[in-house]
Amino acid sequence: MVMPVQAFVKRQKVALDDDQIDRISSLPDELLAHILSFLPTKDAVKTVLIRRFGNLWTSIHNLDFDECLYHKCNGVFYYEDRRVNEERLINLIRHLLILHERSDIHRFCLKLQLNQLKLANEIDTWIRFAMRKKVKVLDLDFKACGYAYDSPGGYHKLPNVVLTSDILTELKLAYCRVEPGEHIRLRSLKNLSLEDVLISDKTMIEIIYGSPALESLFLYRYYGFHKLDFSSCVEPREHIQFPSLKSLSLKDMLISDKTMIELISGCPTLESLFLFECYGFHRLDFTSLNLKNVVIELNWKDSSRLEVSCPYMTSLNIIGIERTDLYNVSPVVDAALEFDDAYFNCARGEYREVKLRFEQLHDCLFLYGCYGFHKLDFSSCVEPQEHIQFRSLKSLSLKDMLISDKTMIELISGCPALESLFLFECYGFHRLDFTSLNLKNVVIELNWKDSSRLEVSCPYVTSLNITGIERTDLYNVSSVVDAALEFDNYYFNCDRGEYREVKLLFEQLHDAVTLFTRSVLVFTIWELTKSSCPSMNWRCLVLKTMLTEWHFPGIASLLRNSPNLEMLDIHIMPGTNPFYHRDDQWLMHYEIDGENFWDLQQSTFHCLVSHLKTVRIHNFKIESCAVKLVHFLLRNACVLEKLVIETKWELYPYKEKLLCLPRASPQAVILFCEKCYS
Amino acid sequence: MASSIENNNEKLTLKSSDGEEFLVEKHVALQSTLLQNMLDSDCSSADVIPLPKIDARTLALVLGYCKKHADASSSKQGELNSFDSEFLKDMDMGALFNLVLAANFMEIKGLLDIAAQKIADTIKDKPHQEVREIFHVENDYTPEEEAAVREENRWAFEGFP
Repeated sequence: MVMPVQAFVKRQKVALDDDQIDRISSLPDELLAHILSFLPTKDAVKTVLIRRFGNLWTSIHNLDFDECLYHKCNGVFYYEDRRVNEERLINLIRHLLILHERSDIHRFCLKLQLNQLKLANEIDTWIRFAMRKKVKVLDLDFKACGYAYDSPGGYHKLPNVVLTSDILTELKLAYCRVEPGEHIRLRSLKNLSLEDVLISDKTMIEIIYGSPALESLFLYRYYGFHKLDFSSCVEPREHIQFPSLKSLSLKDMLISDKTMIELISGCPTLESLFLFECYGFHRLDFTSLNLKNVVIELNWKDSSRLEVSCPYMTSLNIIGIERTDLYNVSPVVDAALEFDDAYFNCARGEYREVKLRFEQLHDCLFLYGCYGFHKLDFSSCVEPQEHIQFRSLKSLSLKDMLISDKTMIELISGCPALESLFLFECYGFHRLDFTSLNLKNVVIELNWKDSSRLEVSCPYVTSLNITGIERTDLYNVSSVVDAALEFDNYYFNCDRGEYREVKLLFEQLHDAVTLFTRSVLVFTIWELTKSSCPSMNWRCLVLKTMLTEWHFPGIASLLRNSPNLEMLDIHIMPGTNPFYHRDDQWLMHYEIDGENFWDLQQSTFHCLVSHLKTVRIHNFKIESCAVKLVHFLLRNACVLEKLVIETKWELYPYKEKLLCLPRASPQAVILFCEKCYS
Repeated sequence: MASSIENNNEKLTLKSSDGEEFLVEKHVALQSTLLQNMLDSDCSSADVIPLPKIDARTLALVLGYCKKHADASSSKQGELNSFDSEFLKDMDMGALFNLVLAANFMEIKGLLDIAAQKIADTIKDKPHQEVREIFHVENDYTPEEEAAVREENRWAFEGFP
């Protein structure tokens, strides 16, 4: 029988075999050594305490020595501790390099703040060790996190042997001095990263000529190279050429317009360019046919203007600059423009230009804090009859913008192809009417402080996510299959008449729903006041909630009224007092017996009898109420397949007890996912 | 993509240890150096290539990985990275070990590395007693033997429990 691969993967994903066979005895030595190679070397060595591992650590192919694994980088620093830790690391390296048996290593990484010049000589012997073992990836960082000193003790002079390797494919240097004594030859080098490296123009050019295979270059605070000013090269007529470079990242560098032009024309095969916090240029003309992807993250404080022409680009990302002029953007299919607050606070004549440019964008647009654009009020455009049209835009993100109801209508009708809309911290509108047939995915994260009401009508939307608003009215939600409603703490603090509306809303949602602390309490209120609760269709329920005895009636009600529930996912939030608001205090007059609540449940839970297969509890704590709930579910969920308990805390010995508890479902498996407790 | 996938229609059949057969496009199979070498040396004339060490469940996972990596173009590196991290998420240890063995046997370097990294991440920062539990190691060193090993490698344990 031949099975299609895709279907098979899906079907098998749930299967579990937590057999108790000894796993490592079946693995060959080389595979175990391979696994150990991915540990920090100090941890790999410690597996010597397990018989099967024995001396396999002497065969690891990655050597990774990082000073920062011995301290907390942001912690309080004591000189004495630092000295002791440094001695430990050095001692580890000395022993390991003598005992290491493998003839080749893949990666050698050393991160150590250089503050003892007397060590420099020995460090060279370590580097030579790595080179002799045919290292492919060499990562030397003599600043590390720099936690102990404001400035590093010194730059380490790179030994010549590194610059004449035909095997090295990746070289990362930080706080090094590069002063080669002989001809540079790095025939296999593909990735080069230089951060705070002292190097002369002449040497840099030698490196580039000596590295014909170079594909990726990262330069960070790269002062020595005359601030990337190629015109000051020894032979000024000779331009830098990176014949095979595909990716170039520049960070914190002064680059003149002239240099930029030379750079781009000197990299004919460049596909990706990243400019982080660079300055000194005012025009970017991306004339290269291959350059498809550009990310520009600047931090210019003055009001300089940047002109960008990008006729061949498909992805463009500009952040942190007040004034950008874009030309020839027609092929850009994916653009994110994040403008500073002050942008567009200029004469109206410009709107037209900006509009024209936006109209040329396809696929994806992200606007952030774009005030000047008349607060996204297109009606005040120079020609008021002309509406904005984003004919092919598929995704629109707006953040921190004032948008009127009228503009919103224009915007949505002006984007007929829009599939996804994200509104973050926007304001000024009160009604959202998503009439577009294509718009399927809407995320609304607001932060309205007043008690304004938002009306949302979404007849075609399939995924809806609303957060941070007190009052939302939803209409036409029948097609929504996946909804997350995160209500603000104060939500529902209104007269009880409204519960009915909310109830209707819940009834209409299908498939998957996420509820938060307050929303769960609403179900408690219904339960305690004996209001009837609607029967819900959803199959997946996510609760992100505090868990107190006050939530138990709500959860019981949810379980009782969700007959088709297959998956319950509870994220326990910290806190013990769910009563934020005075109006809720009346709840406290009800007595809830948290201790025995679940034992006293008598009515049937239909979903527990025949549907609930998966339960996940995140942030589980032994002291919390969750224990009672877990016991109840294990005892009553007849078709449960999997209970996953995720925790940051040590569960032993409770774990043993839980595993022995009676389970209603014979095939139920309990899985623990314990995250990084010490 | 067409240029990189010649003979797009060519398919081969792989058979798992438990007898399931998988029909795989050739360019997907080429992610495995083992299969590549077999195809190059024309061992593939047989209709079905048996993989006696790999069960159906693991093979399905392996082929899912190969398909994604064979079909993605080089410019989608970011997408592949996020696929890789999703791929192993929530996988239990048993499946992970089967996967690492399969990747090793079939010589799929990328898969071998991410699976090995994932196993390494689970034992990182854990005391060796716990590492023993994860690997289900029983009858290991006695406390006396352990003390002797520790003494012999004292330099490795300085400052650590």
